[in-house]
Amino acid sequence: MSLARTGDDTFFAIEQLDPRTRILGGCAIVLGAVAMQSHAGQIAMLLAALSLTTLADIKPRDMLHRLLHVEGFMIVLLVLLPLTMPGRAIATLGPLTLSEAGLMRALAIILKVNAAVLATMALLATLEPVRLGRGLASLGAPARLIHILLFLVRYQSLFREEATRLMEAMRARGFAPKLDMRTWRAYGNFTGMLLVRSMERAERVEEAMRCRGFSGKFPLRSTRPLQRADYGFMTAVALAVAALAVWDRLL
Amino acid sequence: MAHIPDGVLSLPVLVGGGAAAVGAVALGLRRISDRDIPRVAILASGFFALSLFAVPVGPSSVHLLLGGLMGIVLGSAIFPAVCVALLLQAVMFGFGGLTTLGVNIVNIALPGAVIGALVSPLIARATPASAAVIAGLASAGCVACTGLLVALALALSSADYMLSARVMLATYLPLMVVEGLVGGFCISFVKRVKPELLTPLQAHA
Repeated sequence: MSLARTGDDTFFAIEQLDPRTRILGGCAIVLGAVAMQSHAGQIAMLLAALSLTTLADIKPRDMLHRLLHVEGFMIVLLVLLPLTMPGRAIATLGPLTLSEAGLMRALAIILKVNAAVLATMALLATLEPVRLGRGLASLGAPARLIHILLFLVRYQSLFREEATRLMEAMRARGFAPKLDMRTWRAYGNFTGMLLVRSMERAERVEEAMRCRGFSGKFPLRSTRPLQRADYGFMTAVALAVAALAVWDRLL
Repeated sequence: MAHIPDGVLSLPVLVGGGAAAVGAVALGLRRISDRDIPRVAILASGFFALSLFAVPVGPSSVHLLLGGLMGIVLGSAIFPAVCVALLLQAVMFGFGGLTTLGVNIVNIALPGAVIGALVSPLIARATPASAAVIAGLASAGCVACTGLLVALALALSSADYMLSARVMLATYLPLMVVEGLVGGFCISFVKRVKPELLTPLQAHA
């Protein structure tokens, strides 16, 4: 599920950083990227995020895959903005005119969205979800929320397999999705069955946990102190984001 | 389509959505008892798995939002459940964003919480057939509300997004129909097989 690598890289790599450093650093860079107003500032943020992905040792193929996925949502916005925003016309295609202001706006969105996605990918997607949860807990997130997160990490893959098995069983019985009531009834039953199974598993797990004396608390805080690399990284990120933000306003 | 990425919305919308989400998640957490945490969390995992499942619609496919079903089954615990699910989706798969987390939580969970609270007492008492009709309408209604909230977030961010917001709203129509049907049949199935799933969570303890 996560892009976390298991291997021993010897040079400075993002995976050596504490989860807290990565959460705070990631949020700072994403906030910085979103706040940039000039194209130069946005490009600088995108380059900074891109360089972090090399430090995180992310494969270009994974990166491209994720960027394309995100852009799916944006298509509507990116196509319509140049066509509908008022401004100086650059080109005319029949009844449609491309406005300069609209194109610039679309470019700004592309730059910001990609910078944020790359920064998140470099610093947070490479973190195992369990460590992400512990990091959030030691940053003060509510313990109950973290418990739910840890359960979700544990059980989501199990239920995804369960869903695949249910669907395979349906296909084996001759189910082929069409656009008719029967299909929707089948999907309704499938959804319901998965919920019933989740409920039954929840009951079993709950009983088993009570047998072992669970009273609503897990031991969560077992983090080691921040290392020198963490302080160094956080200072570097803070200075870089602050400098870029000032430069962006001055442009 | 309900996952707004980082870098699109304006600062006031992000801050407003974030503040509303913090309040709603805190409220949802307070109303779960410690002993109910495993149950809420495992049901949330089931919904998470379902939301990743693509439902084919003709040549294309859709992902269910499940707001209505979550509201009916989880009650106010929908807020922490959606919060955790969206955080994981943003971090692990790149759907949605970090700064937009609050807005996205509100867009998906708020309609579910409100409509779920309204209809779940009715569903608990109804026959399977009428429960299906109520749940179908509730599910479709939640999709419509989520679509409206997404469009509203875009329209409030910038006047230039107005037309895009309208076009995006139109893309919610097929999802509304699919979710209404699947949600209705789902509740009818659950009502016959395991009706205790449909009594409000807070009443279990």
